[in-house]
Amino acid sequence: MREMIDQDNVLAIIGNVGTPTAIVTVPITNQKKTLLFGAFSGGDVLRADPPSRYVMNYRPSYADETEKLIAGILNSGIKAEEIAFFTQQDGFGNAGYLGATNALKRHGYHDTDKLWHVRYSRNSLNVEGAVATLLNASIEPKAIIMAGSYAPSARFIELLQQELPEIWFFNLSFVGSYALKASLPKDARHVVVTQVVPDMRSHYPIIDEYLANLKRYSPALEPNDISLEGYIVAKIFHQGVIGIAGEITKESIIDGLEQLHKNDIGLGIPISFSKQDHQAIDKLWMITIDQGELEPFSWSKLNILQNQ
Amino acid sequence: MFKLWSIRNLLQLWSFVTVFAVILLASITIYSNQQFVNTQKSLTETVLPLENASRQMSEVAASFVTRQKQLVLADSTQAIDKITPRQQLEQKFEKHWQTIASSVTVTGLDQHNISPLFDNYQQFLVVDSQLSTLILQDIATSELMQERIKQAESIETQFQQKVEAIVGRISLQLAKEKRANSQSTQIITSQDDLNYLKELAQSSRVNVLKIINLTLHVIQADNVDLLLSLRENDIKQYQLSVQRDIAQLARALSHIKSYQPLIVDLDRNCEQLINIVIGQDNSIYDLRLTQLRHKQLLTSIQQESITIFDVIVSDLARLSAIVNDYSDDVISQAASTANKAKWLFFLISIFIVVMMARFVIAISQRITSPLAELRTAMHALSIQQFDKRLTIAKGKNEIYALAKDFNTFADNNQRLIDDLASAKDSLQVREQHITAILNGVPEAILTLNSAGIIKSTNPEAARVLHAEEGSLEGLNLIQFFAASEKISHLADIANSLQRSQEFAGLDYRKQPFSMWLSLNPLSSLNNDLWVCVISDITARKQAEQNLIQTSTELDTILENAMVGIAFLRDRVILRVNHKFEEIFACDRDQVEGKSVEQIFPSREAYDQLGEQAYTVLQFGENYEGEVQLLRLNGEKFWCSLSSKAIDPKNPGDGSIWLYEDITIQREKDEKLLKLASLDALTELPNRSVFNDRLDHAVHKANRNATRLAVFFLDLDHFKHINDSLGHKAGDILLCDVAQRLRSCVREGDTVARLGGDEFTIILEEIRSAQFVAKVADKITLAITKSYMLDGTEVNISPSIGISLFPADGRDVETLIKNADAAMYHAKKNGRNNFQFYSAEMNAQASERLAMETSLRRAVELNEFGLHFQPQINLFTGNIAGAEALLRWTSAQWGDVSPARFVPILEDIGLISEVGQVVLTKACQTYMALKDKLPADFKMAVNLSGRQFHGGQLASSVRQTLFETGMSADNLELEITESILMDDAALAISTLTELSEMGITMAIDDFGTGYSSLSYLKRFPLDVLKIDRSFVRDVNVDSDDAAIVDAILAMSKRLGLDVVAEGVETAEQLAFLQQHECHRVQGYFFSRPLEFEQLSQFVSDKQYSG
Repeated sequence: MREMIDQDNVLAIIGNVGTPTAIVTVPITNQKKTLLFGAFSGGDVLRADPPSRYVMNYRPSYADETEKLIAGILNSGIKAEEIAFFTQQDGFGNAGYLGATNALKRHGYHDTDKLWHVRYSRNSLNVEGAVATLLNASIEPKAIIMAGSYAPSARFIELLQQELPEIWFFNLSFVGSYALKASLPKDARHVVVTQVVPDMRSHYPIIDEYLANLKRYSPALEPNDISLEGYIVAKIFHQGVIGIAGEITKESIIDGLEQLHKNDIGLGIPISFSKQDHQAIDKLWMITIDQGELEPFSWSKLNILQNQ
Repeated sequence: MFKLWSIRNLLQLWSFVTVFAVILLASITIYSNQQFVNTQKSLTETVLPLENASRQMSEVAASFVTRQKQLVLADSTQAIDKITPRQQLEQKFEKHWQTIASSVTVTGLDQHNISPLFDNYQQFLVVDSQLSTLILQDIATSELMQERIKQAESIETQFQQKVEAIVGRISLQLAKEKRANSQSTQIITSQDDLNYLKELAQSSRVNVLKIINLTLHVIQADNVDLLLSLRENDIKQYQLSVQRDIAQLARALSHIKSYQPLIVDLDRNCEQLINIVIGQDNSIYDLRLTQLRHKQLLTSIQQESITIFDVIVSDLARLSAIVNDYSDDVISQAASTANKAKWLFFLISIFIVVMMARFVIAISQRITSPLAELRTAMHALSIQQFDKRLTIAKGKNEIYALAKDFNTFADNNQRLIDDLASAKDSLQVREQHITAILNGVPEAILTLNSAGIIKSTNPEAARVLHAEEGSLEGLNLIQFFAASEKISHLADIANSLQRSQEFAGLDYRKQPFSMWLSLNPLSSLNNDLWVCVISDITARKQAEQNLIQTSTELDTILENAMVGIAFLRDRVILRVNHKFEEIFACDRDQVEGKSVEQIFPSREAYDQLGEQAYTVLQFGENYEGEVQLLRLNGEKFWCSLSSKAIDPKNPGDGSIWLYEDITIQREKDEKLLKLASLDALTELPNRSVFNDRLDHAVHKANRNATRLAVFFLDLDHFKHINDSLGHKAGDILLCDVAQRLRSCVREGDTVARLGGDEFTIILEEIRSAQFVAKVADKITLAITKSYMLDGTEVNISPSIGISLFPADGRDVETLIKNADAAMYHAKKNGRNNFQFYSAEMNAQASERLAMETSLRRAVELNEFGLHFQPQINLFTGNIAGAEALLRWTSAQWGDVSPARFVPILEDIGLISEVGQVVLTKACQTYMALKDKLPADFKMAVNLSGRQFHGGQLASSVRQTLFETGMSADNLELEITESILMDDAALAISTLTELSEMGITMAIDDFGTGYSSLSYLKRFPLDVLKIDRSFVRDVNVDSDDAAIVDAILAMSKRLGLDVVAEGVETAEQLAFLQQHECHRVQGYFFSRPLEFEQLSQFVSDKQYSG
């Protein structure tokens, strides 16, 4: 990061991956007065209030994601005590857990300590212990909120679903729905992923544009939600920069982006930034993985289940 | 400087000087430059390379040190790579060394100073190489260390994960089985067992962590002993613990085959870890040892390096100093040369600047200020200030030449303007004059065109032509001519004018009048405008007619007169009548225009008559007389004359003379006379004749209503003479007297001798008592003149009594009686005088008496004053003297002429007293004005003959001179010839005495009276005063001129000064000047002046020289 800013004299940095990394890089960008745009993390460290001038995000925060999940889960009739958490043992996992528990508190449930929270070591697949713990839980969880990468998440889902087939697994967007789908066994179901981009199969101009360009420039790559997010972030950045009248500097880029107001990039929702708002969108899309297929998720599916 | 140079020359000089200066500057610059180049060359070739090399070497040396430091600090091979290869520095150093070495040989610096440097340098290189090697090794060691650590960590992580995996799987299995409620003994079913496994797992993990921890210590261990202790005491111990843990785990899970490989893995991991940490073959432990060793070596090598480097530094410093010294020498040399050049340059620049300034000033002086002046002057001229002139300075300066021309131009301009102005003025004046004239002349002035039409008129024209004002314009002039003149064109007028300017004219009302006319073109250039002047001469013509008529009548009268008539002017015959021609037996052509003298028998007769007649004529009286005249055929005849001045005030008008030939009558008379008895001695009529004559004369006078005078004349002291000289002398004297008496009277008058020394005279047909008195005076004068009797000079005087008919008696007896009485009265009165008898005359006599009384008092009352008439030196024009003239202003009589009171003074014997007063006052006056007067100034005082009586004159004069302090040289005494009448001898001796005092003696009225040239011989004279009567007519009367000339010539010969009196005109003055008269006196120069006036006159003369 420092090298890029100090030696390569970059004007802005786009798409930093990961919350723990963000925890390190955000102070650097603030100090170096260089824009950190569209980080691939929903961590709160990127979302100071009021927002830092040098941090602009595309995606909603993990807090937003977890809020949506908790709200949906509780609405569907699942009790708070029936919610458990599976998180990576790092900042990201912490963010997810914290977001969810805060959401629960907002919804009136304050004994979040009582809820089962199992973790796994970063960069390992040692999820058995987590599975075992949950299997030994006094109250059988009905929904698990998961904050982890796709491989351990997939293994966890696989192992737990063998024992408790009715559990719904709610993943934060970080996991990558396509990656998760690819890692899960074909018969996996009840897996929900929040996305910060629309379903690939939905027809938004930006998705068409993305698919067309991906085919044109990198035909070998498969389209997925992560790279779509990357494309969208790049598109927004582009919109902000072309509007700059004078010299393109670190500051003028930020000013240019801040001036974006109800900008339409073909996402179906207008993109707006301002000095007070450094988050492009608040919308979340939900995808479900069922029998190896990605489908848009609706909470009614949960209800149907309940009714059954 | 260069004041007189022209601008052109100045500029030339300037350019020459500038060029010269520039050349000089250029040469200095070139020289200086050359010096600079030389120095630079020297510097660049030797000093600079030397300096440079020296400096560079120092830099390179510093780079070496820097590089070394970098080496020391380098912590990776990449860092090492980044460090400058030493070869570069070595090359640089050696290159510079070469430069220095070669420069040193060139400049002759001491080799020994610099050679050790190179050796030291070599040494440094060696040490540096050692250092490099060591550092490289150290870095390699470190890198390896890092690798090992990573490996260790990685293994540790694996270990941890594996342990975790084992535990996790077991847990899961257990959970699953629990859910399935299975009683399988596949695995440990109880939770306690699980816990035990977990503990083991945990313990192993902890121990592994501890090993890792210790490894960190190893990495940081700073001495060998510690290292050893860590390995032996700590790490190995934990190794055992881990191994034990693993072994226990293995035992616990021995019955599950699927976990065996995992356990084996664990074991292997542990072994790997230990190996890495403390095993052989570059374990962390080994590496740390090496690192420690390296460190020590590094320190010592660094130390050595520093030492050598210090030496190099000092070598370099010395070298640098040497080079600096050398370069300083070179530079200072150059600097001094440059300095010199700089000063020279500076001085010359100053010179140029000064000269430049000087030239600029000079040029400016010559151009700008004159130009400014010129401009001002031109401007003044342009705004019509024509009197502006420029001051011209000397020199050949072009501007000044211009100024000169300007002045000339301005002068011309001014003159032109002045001329114009004056022309304009005179034109204006002319115009005014003309207008005035036109308006004033009593003539008609008309302007006409060439057709004769009147264009304009003057105011008088209307009057002259009897027209109304303004009615004349437009009329033709021709209409104003009478038909008889036959004028029809202007040309006719012009023609007629050639004959006469008088025309018969018709006025506006067609009334005839006599016209005088002139007609002229207005200008010779313009024939279209004519000026015509018309005068009404009707009256004049009439007058002319009358005059002609009268003249004709008069002529007739004249020509037919019974008496001869002649018109005389200045005694020249203008016109005579027929009778005159008859009387004088001539044709009028013979006498007209000639002097009347030709009708006189003699010059004397001519003169006598003239005197007698003109005396009367000038008073406006008729002169009548009987004279003997000469006919042109030579025949004398008695003629009765009657004449009158036409205008007595204007003698120039002439006189009318009537002549009657009384020859016949006269002859009768003469016969009569001849019959009468004459005195035997004197042949004068005797008493009876006298009585007869008187009777006759009285009757005639009665008849003619004329007056006559009877003189009774008695000779004073005749008896005395008779007694002293004898009867014969007395007789001769009587004859002389008779003759003299006869000469004093006219021919018609009677002189008779009654007897003894008694004579009588009858003056007939006298005009006035004054005339009689004059005759009496004349007689007195004639009688008193000296007589020569037997070689003796005798003087006598008459006493005369006069009676007048009809005033003093109507008959003979009364007249005789009264005359006689008057004579005795005269005798009583002191003799030598005459007395009128009549009461009227007595009044005169008593008047004289009264005057006497007044005169006596006058001396006491100081009524006498002195006037001074200046005498001018004709040669110098300066004042030469002044004649003191006595003036008497009496309260009773007013200003009395000296001619009146001086004789009275003489008679009453006061003349000496008064004369003394005059002399004293004159001397005092001279002394008062002495300073203003020339040294040879003569104060002239008149002396009376009476003053000589008593013989005290000379001494009193001497006394006066002494008292007043005047020098005798400045005193002039004027005497007349009459002083000799009484006592000649006394007079002569007194005069001689006075002359010997140094006083200038002058003879006054020279030429009149008893003039005798022999007197000039006898008197000690210095000055001759020509009487005014001669001077008066000097230009007119050739006789007077001749006399004056003669007197002047004679005086010159005799060595006498001459003073001409009565100079009244410039012509008289010119004559006198021409004839070398010395001094002049007269009204021409000044009338007699009072003292103050004289003083002023003298001052003026002094200043005007």
